[in-house]
Amino acid sequence: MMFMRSFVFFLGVLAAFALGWIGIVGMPDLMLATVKPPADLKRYTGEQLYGRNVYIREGCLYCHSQQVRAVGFGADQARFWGRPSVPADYLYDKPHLLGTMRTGPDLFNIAARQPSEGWHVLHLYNPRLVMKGSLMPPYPWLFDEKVTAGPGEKALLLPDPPRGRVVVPNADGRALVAYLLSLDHTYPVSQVVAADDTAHTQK
Amino acid sequence: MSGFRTEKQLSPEGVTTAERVNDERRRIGIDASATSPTVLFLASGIAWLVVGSLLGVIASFKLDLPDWLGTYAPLTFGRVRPVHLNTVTYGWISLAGSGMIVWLMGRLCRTEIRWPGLLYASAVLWNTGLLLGSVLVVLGYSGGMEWLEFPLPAAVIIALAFVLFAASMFRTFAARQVEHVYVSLWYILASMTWFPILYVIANAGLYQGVGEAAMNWWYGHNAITVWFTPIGLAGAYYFIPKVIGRPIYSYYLGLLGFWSFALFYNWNGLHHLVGGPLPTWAISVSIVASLMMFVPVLAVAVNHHMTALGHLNIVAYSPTLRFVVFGAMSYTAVSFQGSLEATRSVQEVTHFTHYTIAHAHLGMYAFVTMILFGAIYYILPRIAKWEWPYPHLIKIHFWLSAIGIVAYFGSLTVGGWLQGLAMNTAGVPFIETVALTGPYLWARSISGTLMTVAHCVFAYHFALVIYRAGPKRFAPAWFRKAEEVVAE
Amino acid sequence: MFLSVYILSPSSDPFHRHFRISRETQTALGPPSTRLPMTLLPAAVAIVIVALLGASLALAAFFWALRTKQFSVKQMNEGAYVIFDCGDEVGTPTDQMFKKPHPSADERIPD
Repeated sequence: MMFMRSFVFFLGVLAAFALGWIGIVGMPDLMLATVKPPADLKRYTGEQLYGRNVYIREGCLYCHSQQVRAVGFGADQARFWGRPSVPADYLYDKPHLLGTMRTGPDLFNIAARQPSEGWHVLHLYNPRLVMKGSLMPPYPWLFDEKVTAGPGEKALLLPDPPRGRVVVPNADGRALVAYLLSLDHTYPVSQVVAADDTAHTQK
Repeated sequence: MSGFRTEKQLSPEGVTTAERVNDERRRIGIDASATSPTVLFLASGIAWLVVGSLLGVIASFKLDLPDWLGTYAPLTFGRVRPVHLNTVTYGWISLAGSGMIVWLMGRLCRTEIRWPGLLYASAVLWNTGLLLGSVLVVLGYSGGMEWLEFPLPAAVIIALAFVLFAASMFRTFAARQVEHVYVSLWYILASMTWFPILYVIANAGLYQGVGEAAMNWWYGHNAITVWFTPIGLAGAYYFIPKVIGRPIYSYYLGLLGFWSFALFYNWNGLHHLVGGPLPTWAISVSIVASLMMFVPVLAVAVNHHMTALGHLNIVAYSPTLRFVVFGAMSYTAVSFQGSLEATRSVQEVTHFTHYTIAHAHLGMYAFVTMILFGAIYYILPRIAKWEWPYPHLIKIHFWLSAIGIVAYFGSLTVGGWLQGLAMNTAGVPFIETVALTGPYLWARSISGTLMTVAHCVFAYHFALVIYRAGPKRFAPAWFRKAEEVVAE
Repeated sequence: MFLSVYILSPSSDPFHRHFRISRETQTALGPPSTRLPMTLLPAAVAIVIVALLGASLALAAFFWALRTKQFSVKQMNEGAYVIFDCGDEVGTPTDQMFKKPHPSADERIPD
């Protein structure tokens, strides 16, 4: 009897766990297998992938999201953050970087919103150079201080440059900027769902 | 069975002196077998509490003063914040919780701990895994997903540590000398069955894209479901009736509470992705499951409240009860809040804001951590054979923690709500949503500092007991003189 | 089922020295087109079947428990008392380690 009771207990416990997994992981994942990559969604280049790793390494995820909410749910469109994101947009993302905090703005379409490489480089060096009141940390270790900029390198235009030296982004910095400049998902997808769950056709 | 009470034995007169002495001797033996592993788990847990709290304070001040220590890569917010999360959850709560479980297993099974060697190995491995994982994340090697930042080597070590721990506990349970398995043990047994499976699946890297996001948040919430919450509930279900001296109000409610908990809570995960690029039906299912949690939470709340009814004056002199009741009430509060927070209307405002962080800390700190504090205040004298030497230090600990978490929760809840409203208002520039959180983030930093001071006081007091320092006491460390309370 | 591919890439960052471990599979694999595609209706049918199975299991366990008298009132009451030891008086708080307070103990309990 004790064995039977224990057996029922553990079976019940495992069943409850398995049911939950099937419901919210197994089934959605199976359904998502039907999703085809949009023609305009490009795979990441080597440098962009490297930059994506820098993004993960520095924990950008903890302040920035990469998902745009549906029309009418929040003010994401009014902030020019792009059209609502769909599962197809994330097919090449591993690990996903959807994010759960917006201490900083959503970055899903940051390349479309802010295509200036110079801006990103300055912003990463010290965000408060381009955005007063920003809480974002500075990332000076993505940069090197040199006597002169090398071939193809552009020195940062700093208001207060270090004496006799120039600051240029190093490999990590260049890669991260390359990744950020790849974040453009403004291409149309065939279906975009609004907050009231009726499908709209994206023009 | 010695110690097993039937209705006939409700009054001490029904128990012979011989039985009582025998029972006490057995209990001392059982406690002795649990002593070393429990102290090892508790001590390392408290060490990680101090480390994790300090990391949290650093992370918090970096949002107030972004350029503070800004040139030092390992301390950048994006690295310190995940290490704070991982060390307080997989470190403090998991290790202290494991220590509590070891002691409870001995008491509730009325038998000595089996395979203690596995427990020592588990503690060593667990601490190693935590150290390795923390150092790796701080140096820049992160798994990239929230709650799963520890790189694979550290995760494997922690998984192994957990399996060894569970093996010893299951073996002890199999050797139990009681006919009846108490409700705390249901939660403990379930958690030890669930967590290894959960942890292995999550770290196996099976998915990508939004499917992986679903897995990520199934894991993130389930870690709370299958490991952290059961630790808190197991503690509350034991210590509230034990300290008060009355049995749990309704065992049936406990049964209902456990199974509805198991059934519904496992489906909650996707409420972390409301509004996100996932099938709407899946998100709705999670929201419904979150609301269904009212059932088990009410069952637990009624049970604990009715057990304590009329006897809450004991919190005036029992540190354990004070902490545990605070924790149990917080469980009700955080769960009610969570159920409502999961709805789309609330999520539209609070998702992506500091409101979520406040809710998370209400659960992990006001609920689980406070119960663990209470448990440790009860357990340690019984295994170290030394009473807490300075009751005023316990008072300081309690009040700093309580005020700290209330202020933490209050400031970030208000700040987060306002942040969300501003973010949803089209004309408000984004930087203004950041600016308005400023004072609330400062309040959070100060609250976090208070809590960290409390933890340092607690750690110091804990060390005093381990080293048998301070005045030797023959009576419990009560807050008020015994006669004052008895006269009430 | 995907296998994680660890990609090593160099970095000039002093804290990275020689390599970085990352877990993306993008260059190794494309989208998950090798899986069984499933649109909404089959998924809904599958989940309803699973839910019915789960519910039947739960009901079966419940009726088994009733039939084998798992829920006897006596057992339930006894269960709640298992936490008390022989010497505990029901109704008396137990947050004390030593049964007999030392006569000088009170002096050592400051307010």
